[in-house]
Amino acid sequence: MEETLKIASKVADQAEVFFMEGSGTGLNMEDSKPTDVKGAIQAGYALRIIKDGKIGSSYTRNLIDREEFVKNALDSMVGQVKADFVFPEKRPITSISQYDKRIENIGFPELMDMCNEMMNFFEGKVQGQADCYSGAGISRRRVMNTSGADYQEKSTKFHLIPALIYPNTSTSIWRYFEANGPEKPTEKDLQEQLDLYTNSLPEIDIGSKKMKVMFMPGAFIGFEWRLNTGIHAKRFLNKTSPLADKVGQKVMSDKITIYNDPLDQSIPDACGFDDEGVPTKKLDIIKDGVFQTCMADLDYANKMKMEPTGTGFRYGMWGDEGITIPPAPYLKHLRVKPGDMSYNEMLATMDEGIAIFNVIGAHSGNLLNGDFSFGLNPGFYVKNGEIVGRVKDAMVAGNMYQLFSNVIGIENQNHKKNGIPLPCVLFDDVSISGK
Amino acid sequence: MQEEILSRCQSFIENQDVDFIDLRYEIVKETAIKFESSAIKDVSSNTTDGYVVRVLNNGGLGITMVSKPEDIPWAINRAKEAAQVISGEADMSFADVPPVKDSIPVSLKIDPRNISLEDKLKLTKKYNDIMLEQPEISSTTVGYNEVFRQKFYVNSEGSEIFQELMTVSISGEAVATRGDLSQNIRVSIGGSTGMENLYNREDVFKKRAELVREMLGAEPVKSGTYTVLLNGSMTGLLAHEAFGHFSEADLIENNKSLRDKMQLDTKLGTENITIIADSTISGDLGIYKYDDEGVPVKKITLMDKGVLTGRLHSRKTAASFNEPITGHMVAEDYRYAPIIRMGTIFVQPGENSFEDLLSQVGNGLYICDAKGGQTTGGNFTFGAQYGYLIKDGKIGPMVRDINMMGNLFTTLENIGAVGDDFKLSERGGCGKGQTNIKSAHGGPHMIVKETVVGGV
Repeated sequence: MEETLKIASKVADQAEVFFMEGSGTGLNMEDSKPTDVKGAIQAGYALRIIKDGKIGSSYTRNLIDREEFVKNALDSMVGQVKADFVFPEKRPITSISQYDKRIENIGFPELMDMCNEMMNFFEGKVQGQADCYSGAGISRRRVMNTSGADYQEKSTKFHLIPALIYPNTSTSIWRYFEANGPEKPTEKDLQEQLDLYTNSLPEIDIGSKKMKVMFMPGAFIGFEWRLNTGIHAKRFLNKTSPLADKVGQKVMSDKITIYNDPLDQSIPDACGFDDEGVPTKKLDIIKDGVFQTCMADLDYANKMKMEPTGTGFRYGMWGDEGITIPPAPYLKHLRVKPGDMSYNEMLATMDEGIAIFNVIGAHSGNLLNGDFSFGLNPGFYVKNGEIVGRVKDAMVAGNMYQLFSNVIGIENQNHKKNGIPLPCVLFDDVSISGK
Repeated sequence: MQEEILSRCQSFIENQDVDFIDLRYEIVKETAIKFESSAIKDVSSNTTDGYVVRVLNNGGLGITMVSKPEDIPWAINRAKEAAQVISGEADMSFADVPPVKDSIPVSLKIDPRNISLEDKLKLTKKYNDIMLEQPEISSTTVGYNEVFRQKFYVNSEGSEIFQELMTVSISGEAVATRGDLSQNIRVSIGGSTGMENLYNREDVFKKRAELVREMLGAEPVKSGTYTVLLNGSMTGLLAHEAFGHFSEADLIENNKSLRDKMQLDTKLGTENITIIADSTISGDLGIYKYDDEGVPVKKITLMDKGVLTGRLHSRKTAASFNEPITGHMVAEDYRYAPIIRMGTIFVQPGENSFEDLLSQVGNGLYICDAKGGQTTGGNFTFGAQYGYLIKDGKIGPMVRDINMMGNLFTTLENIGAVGDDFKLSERGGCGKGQTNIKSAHGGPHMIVKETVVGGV
C-alpha cells in the first residue's frame, strides 16, 4: 500500500489507498443435515486520487501491477468529477479490540458440532423443522492517505443462527447469536425461541384494522433503510428529505432517542475509523424526539460546510463488493435507546394487537418520504396480552415519522442476540391490512 | 489466451483424489458512471478476478473462494476438508451430464468496448439532463453500468468451457418535490446484446420524469383487499417473487413440507396461468448458454395451465429430486459459489385485450411497474411504482405507495384473465444471496383477485 501511495502521489495532489480482507468458514444445516460448507479468502484494494480539484478512482483484487492500478484511477479522471475536499490528516482514534484468538481454531468440525448441539436441543420439539447457520471469520481493514492518516483494524466474528420453520413454508423464528468469539446461546435462550415458535403456530385471519403494534428488533430493518435515506446529506443539499429544514425541531415522540455508535465494543463490527479515514464517534440522530443532524462523508461534508460524521463506508445494501463501491454515508451501527417498559408489560397493554417479529419488502416503497408497507413475516397475534398465533397474509403500513410520533412505550433492554441490538417499541393506532 | 487459461485451470484440478472437482475462474471488467443531479459523482473502469473451487467426495460437497492463484492449492485442500467433514452425514451426488468443450465469445450488435468512456459519459448525461430539466424534478441519480464477464470453467469429468457475457444498462431515479412531499420513480434501459438498447431512448426518461410529477398529485392507496390488474412489469415480478423462487429446487430441497406440496403434476393455480423460464431467447437480457456447472441451459415450462410441470435445478438437486437437469446454477461473480437462479421468467400471454381486462376487473386497482419484491417461505411482497383506481371498468385517478403481499398458493388460485400483450424487463437485480443483474422477468397484463394491499 505504501508503494502504491508513493506512485499515486507523484501524479496527483492527494491520494488514498483502502484495503479490505476477509477470511472465513461457514456451515449450514437444514432439517438437521449439513447442506452447505464453505471457506473463503477474499481481499481487495481501492484507490482514490485528487488532482486539480478532480477525483479519479480504481480498484483491484491484488497489487501485482501498481502502475496499472494508478493509471486506471488517472484514466477515470476523464469524468472530471469534482472533489473539493481534502483527505483527513492523522488524528487520535479510539482503539478497537475485537480480535478473539479462539476464532483461529474454529474449523468445519467445530461448526458442525455447534450446529448439532442446536439441532439436538430442538429435536422432537418442532412441528416444522429446525435449521442452523454458522460461521466464523477474520477481517482486516486499512486506510492510508497522503495527508498522513494510516489506520488499520483486525477483528473476528462468529455467528450461530438457529431457525425454527413453520410447517408448509420457510418462514421461521430465528435468533442471531453473534459475538467476536465462539459464544454459544444458553438453554434459556433456546427455550425462549422455542416458546415463541410454539405459541405462534396457529394461523389467524384478522382482516384490516388499526391497532397497537409492537415492532420487535428483527422488524426494524425497514426503518433502518428509511432513516439512512432520510438523513443522507445529499437529501439535505437538494432539500428532498422531510427532515431537511428540521434540525433542532421535534420530529418524533419525546420517548425516542436514536443514535449511531460505532465505538460500542460490546457489539461486533465496532470500528475506530470509517472507510475514508475519518475517526468515528457516537452520533445522535434523534434525541428525545428532536432531530439533531444529517450524516455526511468527506464529499458531502465539504458541500454542506459541516464536519464529516465518520459514517463514510464502502457499503452496499445488496452485498456488493466493498472495494467496488465509493464511500458514502451509512449508519452501520444504529441504536435505539431503551425505555422503561418490560417486554411483558408491553404485551399486557395489548387487548388486541400485533407483535411483528420480522418483515419482508422493507426495501420497497417511498424510502425518502419515510412511507412503508411491509409484509409481516411473521407477525404474532396478541390477544389479552398473550401471543396466541401468527397473522396470515397481512401487511403493516404507514409513515415512519408519523409512526414514531405515536409511541406507547419502549422496552427497557436491548436484544443483543438479534443482529442489531435494539429494544422492542410499541406503537398505537397502526394500520394493518389482511384478509 | 483462453486455451492457456483453461489449461492452467485444468492443471490445478488434475490428479486430485476425489469423486469430483471443478474450478471456475472469472474475470470481470466493470465500467461505471454515476450522476447525482447535475454533478458527476463517479467514473471508473476496473478489472477484477477470482477463483471458485468445488469438491464432491464421499457424499459431501465443499466449496471455497479465493482471490489469488497462489491460494488455489489451499482452496482445494480446504474444499476437500469441508467435503470430508460432512461426508458421513450428507448424501449428495450430481446428476450425470456429458463433458463439454466449448467456447462462447460474446456476440454483440454494438460492442460497448468500442465506444469511448467520453461517449458513454455524454449519453448518460443526456438522459440525466432530460429528467432534470422537467418541472418539479428536485434531484436525479442516473448511472451507466457495463459488466463484461469472462468465465473459464473446468471439471474433473473433462469439461472445458469459455464463455463471455456482456450486460449494459443506464438506470436510476428521479425525485419530484412539491412542498413537503417528495416522490421518486425508477428508470432503466439496457440488455445483453450491446449498446443499441441504450440509444434513442430519450422518450423513456422524459416520460418517467412526467410520471413522477403526476405522482405528486396522487393520493396514497387505501389499504385493503382488491382485485388488481397488473401491467407486464408487475406480472413479471409476481412470476419471479411469488412463484419463481419456489421453482428453484435449492429453496425447497431440504424443506420436507414445502417439497411435499410442490410435487410435479400438482395443480396449484388456475387454468389461466402458464409460467416459463427461458434463458435461451436471442436478444434477451437473461441469455446464456452454459451455467456455472457447465450444463447447457434449457427452456423449462414451470407451470402449464396451473399445473406444476417443471423445476429449476443444479446437478445436485436434479439428482436429489430425480428430475432432468436444466442448467440454472449461476454465480453472480468470482466471489460466489453458483446457486440456482431462474434467469428469464415470464407469464405466457393469453387472449384478452386491455379493455376486456379492465371490464373484467370492474372495481379495483391498475398497478404499474415493479419496484422491488421479496419472498420468504410461502409469502411474498412486491411494490409498484404507481397505479390507478379502476371504477366501473374504467381507469380512474392515480394512486401511489402501493405494496402488495400474498401467499404463493392462495395467489396462484386467484389468477384471473391474462392479456394478449407481452413485455420483458431490460435490467435485472434479483437479490437471492447475490445480486443477479441478468434476472429478467415479464409477461402480459394479468388480473389477480383478493390481493392484500398495504396502503398507508
